[in-house]
Amino acid sequence: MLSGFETPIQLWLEIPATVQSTAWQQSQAFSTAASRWNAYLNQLCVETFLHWWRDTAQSQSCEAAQIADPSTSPELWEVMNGVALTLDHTRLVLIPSEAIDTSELRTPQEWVDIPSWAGDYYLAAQVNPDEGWIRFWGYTSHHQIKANAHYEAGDRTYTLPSDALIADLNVLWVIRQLNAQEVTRGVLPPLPELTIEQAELLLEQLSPKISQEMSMLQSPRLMVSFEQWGSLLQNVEWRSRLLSHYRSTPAMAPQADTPALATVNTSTPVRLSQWFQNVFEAGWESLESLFGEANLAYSFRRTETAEGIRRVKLVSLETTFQPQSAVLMISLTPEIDGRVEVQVQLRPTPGDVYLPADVSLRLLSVASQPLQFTRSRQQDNYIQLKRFRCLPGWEFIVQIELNGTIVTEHFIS
Amino acid sequence: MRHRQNLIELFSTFVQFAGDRFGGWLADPRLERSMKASLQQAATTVRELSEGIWALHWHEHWRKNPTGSAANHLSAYLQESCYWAAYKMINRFTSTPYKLSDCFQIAIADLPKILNRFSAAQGSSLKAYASAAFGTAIRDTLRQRQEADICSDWGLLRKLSQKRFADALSKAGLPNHKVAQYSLAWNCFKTIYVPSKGTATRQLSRPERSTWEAIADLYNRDRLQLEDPGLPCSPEVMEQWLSFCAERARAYLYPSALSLNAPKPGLDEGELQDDLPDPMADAPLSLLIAAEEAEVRDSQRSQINTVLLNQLEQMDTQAQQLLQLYYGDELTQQQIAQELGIKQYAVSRRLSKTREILLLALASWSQQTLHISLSSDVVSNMNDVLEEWLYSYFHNAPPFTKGV
Repeated sequence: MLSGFETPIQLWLEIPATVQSTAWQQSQAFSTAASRWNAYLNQLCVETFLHWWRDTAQSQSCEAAQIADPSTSPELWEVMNGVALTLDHTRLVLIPSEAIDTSELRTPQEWVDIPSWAGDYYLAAQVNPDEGWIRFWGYTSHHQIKANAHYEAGDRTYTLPSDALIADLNVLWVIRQLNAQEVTRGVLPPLPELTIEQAELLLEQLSPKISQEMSMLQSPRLMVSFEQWGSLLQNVEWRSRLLSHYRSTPAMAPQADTPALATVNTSTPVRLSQWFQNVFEAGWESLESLFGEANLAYSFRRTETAEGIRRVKLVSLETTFQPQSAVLMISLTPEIDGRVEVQVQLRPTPGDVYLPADVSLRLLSVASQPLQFTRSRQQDNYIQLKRFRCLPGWEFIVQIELNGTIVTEHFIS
Repeated sequence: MRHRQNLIELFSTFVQFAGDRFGGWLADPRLERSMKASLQQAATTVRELSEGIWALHWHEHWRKNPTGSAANHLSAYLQESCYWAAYKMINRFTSTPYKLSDCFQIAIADLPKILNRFSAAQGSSLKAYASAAFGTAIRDTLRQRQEADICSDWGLLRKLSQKRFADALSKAGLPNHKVAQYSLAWNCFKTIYVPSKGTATRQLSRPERSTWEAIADLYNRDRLQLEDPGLPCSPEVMEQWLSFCAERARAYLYPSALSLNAPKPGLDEGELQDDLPDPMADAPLSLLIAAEEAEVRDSQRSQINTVLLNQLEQMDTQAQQLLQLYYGDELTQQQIAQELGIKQYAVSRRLSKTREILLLALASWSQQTLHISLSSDVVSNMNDVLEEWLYSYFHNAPPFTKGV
């Protein structure tokens, strides 16, 4: 209890008891004491905020919260503080701290200077886990940070003193209603694109084994130049590889009940050519075994050729927010010229009618170049990528993402 | 408390405590002279100027020359607001170890920040703005002290911002390179020594020997990054350093005495530059401008009053009751929760929501009638106006009382 110290100016939220216990449990999957604690505070913060947002949005019959945002991936808490949310087209970055004094807002540079990560507004949150509450004590905009914050090169943060922040979040909600055009973003130069070689080299340099030898404090985010680090992070594939390093390091093995926060990364590619010999990798089932014989609704619209092969895999998209799953369906049709036509679809799990909203399906080259992209809306029965043809031996990656949980499947045709 | 009688007193005298009560007004001769001179200069204007206009004038002056005497005039002017903010806060808590004079000191120390944030543009008055801000300063500090009192040294070390940590050490007189070394040690401590339970961060016990060894190891590896790496440190030295830091951080929350705005009665010396009169060539003109602006604001204020009254009437009785209890009866949210039989968090949310509706009404009105382009800063200023209006309305005072 804040016992008389509270004001109606600041948004002050109770942490739901269930949030507190799950956040603690899930944080145990992180690799170091410091990152576990960081993950715990961040999760408390974002979930409590979302609880409140959903309550409020409901009462105003507003659009529900949208959190489709790759950079919100909780794995990030291995290496840095903060979480981003997109709510009603406004991107908020929450920066939790357990400090009892609200002297400053300290924002990691990534949230400011990676163009695709930058937020419209930054919210300072004081987390008090002992008493179970969070106080959002001020906010500022990206523009203000770029214009007025002090950049500290030592830990690559932008700091603003508390009196440079606006204390009342009501001001923010009012502004969003009356002047959604408010200039919130400062000018940012783009970060350089990395070549595959550069990225591989960086990943090697930043592997936890090496970074641990150097120092535990010397966080990976400070080991290479910001341009390099930021470029690596802004690429979904590189980032998930980087972060999975931390999760999979044996010396810091997470506990057995690791929640599905982590990226599911299949290390060995699925060999599609073998499917024609009836050799299938684990998890790839026939339609019938997953959906049952009778369910004809799941056939592709196009007439199937006799040689065509279809296989499905159940994909778990369990996020911190709610468990979700879907079915990834791959259909292969051999062409006369030796190529194979590939069709990729994402379907609801048996028994469900709709896909989760905002689940995205991506096709990437093996060098992580994005090739195709689609995303589900509310009440989509399925989503699919455009058919493509490829020569035997061509490698590609299919990524499914929901609320920052990324499932990656690697194929060789 | 005796009210100060005239403009000269208002802008040149300070509260003096006798025991823990108001003891009288203490004049600062230097400010007295300065105020007299300013009044003489202003005598060329046709009309008598209110204290509110003088406050705006000095605030404007302070913006142009923050090191001049304007800050002291404003400090004198706001003594009463500060005193009453402290008085209210003390009466709010029946069992507090703090004295009225403690709260007064805490609040007045925040004056530079308050002057910096105050913006007259949307029509709030400095006095009302400062009253609310003094209250916030006292609340924040008391809350931090309360939390710090509950914490063990090791718990407290985790609960400091980097800025607070560094400030506390600098205040203790440590040179920069030492502050950097201690900060590194502190970061090593926070990296290694993490609470083992999610709900018991305050009473962290003293780290084990093995933990201190790990902290020292980390420090010794990382100290090479420092400009002045110093010598390698033993686990004992780490513990010694961090104990010292915790002690300094506590002391920093309880400053022994503040002389920031204390009057220097009878000591009409000061530094040479203090005695140089501020350049006041434009004083009558800037006063006239302040007076004109005040007139415009007065008419604005009556419109604002109408807008807010209308909005308030449209609200349900529960919302009105909440506002009455909070702003009028000055109950804490906890007390309101007890009174209404709901949870404190619910009170907090509903109050916040109610204020949002009022703020929205005010902001859309200004957008439509004044054609103001709304930014966060502008709306934030309106929020100050709203807060001021709520206090005066629920105290049955005519909203926006005299004194601009």
